[in-house]
Order: sequence, then C-alpha cells, then structure tokens
Amino acid sequence: MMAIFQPFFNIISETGRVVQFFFQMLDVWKRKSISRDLMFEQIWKVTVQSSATTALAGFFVGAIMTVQFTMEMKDFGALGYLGGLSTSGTIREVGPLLIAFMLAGKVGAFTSAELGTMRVTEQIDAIRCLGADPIQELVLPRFIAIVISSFFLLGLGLLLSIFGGMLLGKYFSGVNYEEYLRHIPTIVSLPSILSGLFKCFVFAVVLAVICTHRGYSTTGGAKGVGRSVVQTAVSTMVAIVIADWATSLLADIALKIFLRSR
Amino acid sequence: MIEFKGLVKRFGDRTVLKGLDLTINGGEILFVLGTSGTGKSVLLKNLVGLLKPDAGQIWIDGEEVSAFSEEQYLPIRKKCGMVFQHPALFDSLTVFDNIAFGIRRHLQCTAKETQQKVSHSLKLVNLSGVEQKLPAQLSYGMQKRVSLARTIALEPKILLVDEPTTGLDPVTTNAINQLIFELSRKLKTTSIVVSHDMQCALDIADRIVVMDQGNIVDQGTPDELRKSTVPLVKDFLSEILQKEAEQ
Amino acid sequence: MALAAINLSDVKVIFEGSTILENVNLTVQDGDSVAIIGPSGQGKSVLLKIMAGLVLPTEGKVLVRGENLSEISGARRQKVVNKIGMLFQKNALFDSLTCGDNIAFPLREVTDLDEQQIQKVVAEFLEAVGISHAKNLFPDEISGGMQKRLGIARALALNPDLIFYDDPTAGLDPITSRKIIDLILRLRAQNSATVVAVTNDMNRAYQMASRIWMVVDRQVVDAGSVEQTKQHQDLRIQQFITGAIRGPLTAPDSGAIND
Repeated sequence: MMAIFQPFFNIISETGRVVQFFFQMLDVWKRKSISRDLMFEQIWKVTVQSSATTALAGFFVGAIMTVQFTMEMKDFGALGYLGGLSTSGTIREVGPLLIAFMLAGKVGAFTSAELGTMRVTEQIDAIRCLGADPIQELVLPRFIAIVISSFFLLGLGLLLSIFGGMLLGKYFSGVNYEEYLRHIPTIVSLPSILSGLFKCFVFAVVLAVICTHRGYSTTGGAKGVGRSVVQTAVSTMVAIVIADWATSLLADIALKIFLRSR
Repeated sequence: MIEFKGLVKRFGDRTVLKGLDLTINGGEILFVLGTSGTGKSVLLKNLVGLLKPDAGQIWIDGEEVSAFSEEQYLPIRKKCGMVFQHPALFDSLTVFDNIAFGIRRHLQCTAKETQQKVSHSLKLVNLSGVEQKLPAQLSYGMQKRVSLARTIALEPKILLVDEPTTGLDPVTTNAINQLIFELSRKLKTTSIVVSHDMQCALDIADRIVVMDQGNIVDQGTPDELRKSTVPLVKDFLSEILQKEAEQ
Repeated sequence: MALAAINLSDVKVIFEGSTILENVNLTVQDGDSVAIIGPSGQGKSVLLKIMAGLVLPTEGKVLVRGENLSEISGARRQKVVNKIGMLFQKNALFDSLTCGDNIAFPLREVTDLDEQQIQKVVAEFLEAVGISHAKNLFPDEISGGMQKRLGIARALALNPDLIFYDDPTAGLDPITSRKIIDLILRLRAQNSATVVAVTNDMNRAYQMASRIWMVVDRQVVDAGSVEQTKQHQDLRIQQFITGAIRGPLTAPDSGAIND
C-alpha cells in the first residue's frame, strides 16, 4: 500500500534537497565573489548553444499565433489587432515557456551531464582538496549564466516571433507590416512585459537550480550521469509547468492591485 | 601523526567502516590493502573531510578534525594532498592550469613563483614540457602523473594516494609505484597508499595494513606480514610467496 | 584437418588514420586458451573485438570456424555468432533487468526453450557462478565481483564453444580476481570451450593460458606456452612480464621514469 505513495515521498524529499541546495548556493554567493571571467564564459556558452534553436522556434511561434488568431479574428473584422495580440501573448506566456523548455532540453541536460561527469570522475572532490569551493567555482557561474542568458534568449525569441508573425500576417492574413506593428505598443502593456520578464526569471531560476543540483549530486558512475540527465529533463519540465501556474496566479493578483491603484 | 579512533561510516543501511582504529606515524609509507569495496578509499576521504564519519575521531597532528567546517578544513587539505583514483584532471584546463589551480588557491604566490612550482613538480614526476597540453592529449599513465604533480605542487606534509595503479599494465604500474616511493622520501612526506598491489606494498611500504569488511584484520612491517597467520593475508600473499619459492 | 577456431591472415587495422595492428597472422586452435597481454593502449581490446567479429579489419581476413564473418549474413552468420560468447570490459549488463533476466535474455532471443526450461537454465548458471541468491536483484545492487560473475554467466548462457573475455579481472582485488579466473577455467573444462582473454595481470595470464600473445608495436607476438613465455628471448616480453621499469618498452609515454 505504501508503495503507491513512495513516488510522492520521493518528489517531496527531492524538492526539499533542491531548495536546500538553492539556499546553500545563495549563502556561498553572499560570502564569496564569483569570477567574472568564468561567468562570462558560461553566459557566452549558454547563449551561443541555444540561440539558433530559440530563433527558429521563436519565428514559428509568431507564425503559429498569427495563423491561429487570424481564423478567430477575421469574423470580427479585427485583423488590425493581430500583431498586438500575438506579440502580447508571446511575451506574457508562450515566450518565457518556450525559452524555459528550450533551455531545459539543451542547457539543462548539458549542465547536469557536465557536473555529473565531474562528480563521478572525482573532479569535484579534487577541487575541494585543492582549496576551492566547487559551488563557487562551478555551480554559481553556471547558475547565473543560465538566468542571464534566458533574458537574452527571450529578447531574441520575441524579435523573431514578431518577424514570423509579420511575414505570415502579410502572406496568410493579408495584414501589411505597418498595420501589424501599429497596435503592438497599444496592446502590449507594461504589466504584460513585466509579467513576461518575471516568468522568464522564475523559470530560469527553477531550471538552473534543478539541473545544477542534479548534476552536482550525481552518484554511480557513467550510468549515474545518464540517470541525472533524464531526471533533470523530467523534473525541470514538470517544475516549469507548476511554476507557470504559480506565476500566472501571482501576476494576476499583481495586475488587479495595479489596476485598482490607478 | 594521524590517528583514527573508532571510526564508523555508513552509507544508507550499509556500514562501510566499523569502528576502525589506526595510527600512522610521521614520515612513514603506509599501504592499505584489502578486498574491493571494503572502505579503503572511504578512509582517505574521511581524513580530508570529503566524507564525514558517523562516529569516531580523526586526529591530525594533535587536532581533532572530524567536526571541522568546510573553512576549517582548508589548512588540513593543504597539509594532506590527495591523489584520486581517477586522474580527476579538469578537462577544460591545460596541464599548467591544472597544476596551478591549487597553487593559486592554497599558496600566496606571484605568477613567476607559480610558474616555477608548476615546472618543478612536473619535473619531479618526469613529465617536463607538457604544460600546454590538455589532459585528453595525454595517455592514461601520464594523466595519473600530472594528477600526482598537481598534488605535490602544494608541498603537502601528508600524501594520500587512492589506487594509483588500477587498470595499468605492469611496467607503468611499477613506474608509478617507484615514483610514489621516491617522492615520499625526497619530500619527506607521510604517505598513505590505498592499493590492491601486495607485491608493491612488500617492496616499498614501511608498514602495511590489511582491511576486510570495514575493519583492520592485520598490520605490520612487510616482514611481519609475510609471517601472518590471518587467512586473508595469506591468501593475498600466496602467489607472491609461491613465485619467490620458485626462484 | 579440423578447422581452426579462429584464423587471422594479414590482418591490418587502421583507426582514424593511425595504424593499430598490422601483419597479424595467427591461429587459435580448438581447445586453446589464449591470454592477450601488452602495454595499455596498444590494441589488445581491438584484437579481441576483431576476432569476435565486432570490429572489421581494414585489410586481411578473419575466419571463425572457416567462415568469414564480414562476408556471410543472415541465418548462416547467426549460427556462427550464437556459438560465440563475449564478456565485455564493463560487463554491459542490462540494469533494467534482474540478474536472472539478464541471463534469460539471450535464451529468450535465440532459443526456442519454453519459460520453464529457461528458468531451469538460469538457475543452473546462477548456481555455477555462485550467485543464486542474487536472482531477483538488479545488477547495481550487487558488488563488482558479482557483476563480473553475472556477466560471465550471461556470456555462457548459450553454451558457446568460443568465448572472449575483455579484461575479466580489471579493478578487482587479487583474491576476487583469482576466483574469477578459477571460475572461467572450471566452466571451460565443463564444456571444453576455446577461450581468448585480454588481461593486464601476468599472474592471471599464467593461471589461465595455454598460449600467451603479446600485442606491442602494432604487432602480435605469439610468445608460446607459459613456460616458453617466461624464457622468451624478446626483451619487450621479458620487460613486460617482470614489470621492469627500464627496457625497450620505456617510451616517454609508457609511464616509466626517464633519467
């Protein structure tokens, strides 16, 4: 009977360990300085690794949104708002989610494999013996890089999605470029930009802490590394969806307060 | 001097070290032998704080270190240089940067002094001139020696070596063992070597400890061990004694 | 004349532009047990994999019981391959299967035995390698020595008459190593199989081999029986078996000390 609940206990205790690891990281961050060079190297790596896929996916997201909205909006003669609506949707919801999944699949898996390999080949032990802190030297630069890069990538994805939307707007929906762009500033409000940035930040933090933690606590040789990579993929996807729900709720409440205060 | 008192280490429900007592004298070369999975490496990792014992005490030069924090362990780790079973070199760094890694963190050195220390320690392991290579460009035996150089560059008083020759052919094995012996004597370190290689232990150890099932079953000088009546030790020695009898 | 178990003629192997082996002309007779020794990284495992048909030579011919594995296919190839057993260096056990199912795997794949018969064979093999108690455990729940035993049991499950072992005692302590070789010899005696094994450990080579080959400098030297090997004139072989640090094998790469 207890066996049915075992997975839930595992999830709870694993979540506890991830949170604990997060605070350990913050503690190290507070006390010690992070090497700029290491951090920039990682930011560069993460951004370069993911920019092509992000750009491609961003383009098609814009295209999909345009096609979907066109079908609904044609009947109301509201095609003029096409650009504004699909951009708003992308920045608030689809963009951050897309970036998070992109990073989870590529950078998350890569990071946990990299740290996992260093763990099982005793490199992390060696770092400690050589007088350095592996959290400071390895984990934090990667963590920070993932969070910062996610904003770059969000921007890139957004630009490409507007581009994709414009292109499809013109050739599929018959909306010319000026018309497509015209309502973007009016519909895309400050709250939706803030909400998008906030989501992007939360997803990146969740993803970064899970993949570094999984890699860092790998056990059991080459097989263990494989296990860590799979676990990273699964738990980040689930965690991001949950985080999406939580941030949507938060953003909603914040928006209501914002509107009331006006 | 190093002293373990009643050391206990568990992993989950498996007890790997079962109240182990061991004293290691300053300046000696001690070999720790035993069957696989009997906690030999765990012993070394407890000494430098990579693992924490569940019970017992660890004394290093008059200090009880087992409850030390990560910060307090820093001077201990400078004193106790550890060479891992894997070469554990950092793949993305050159040999030079691998060796300089610990020097930059443990010692206050100028760039020039660092340079000198790196080339000196590479010379000690007979590998001069590979500073700018990446670990992947070296053979496994060479990687092991760079790993040794990285550790001795910090001039440790105590040298801990975990299975230095596992998976190496006989010629490389003997070369590495000889190197450990020469370095220990030249640098006057206390050395603890975890190994499977009884022949080598008999050749170069001052004292040998044999472990089984998380405890010590016998210890003594090579000559004392040769006369041991403990079944496991006799088993370890049987082929060697037989070979010697043939000659 | 009966067909040789394995026949290598003018075999040459080139990997990524560098020659690993050349001019290899050797024969393994039925009932032989060959130990392949030699310095690390010189192609011992490659030689083994070529004989087992897992790697194709760049040039030359490999005949297993008179058949060229790279030329035959289908049922005819399967018939030869089924008679070959192989223990990999890392055991290559399936970690999602229990120990019992690991042994049952090749039986289910290849034979027509029903489940009851398979279970009987599995029980026999677990018994033979001394790990009956581990039948329902998973490979990562048992020790390294036991994993080796399981690997051996699986390699032998189809009752092969030609068995390859890639460094069967690597990383094991000497006592466990000796037990593993004892096991290999005992099982070999039972089904009078031909055995080829790579090893780094001369004691194990002496314990098991009827012939010793040494892979060195891209060649394979047949050093003969254990006694002949011990007396061999080739200085490289002498250095290797005594483990002397100085000698012809002392390249800057071999890990030996240069003055």
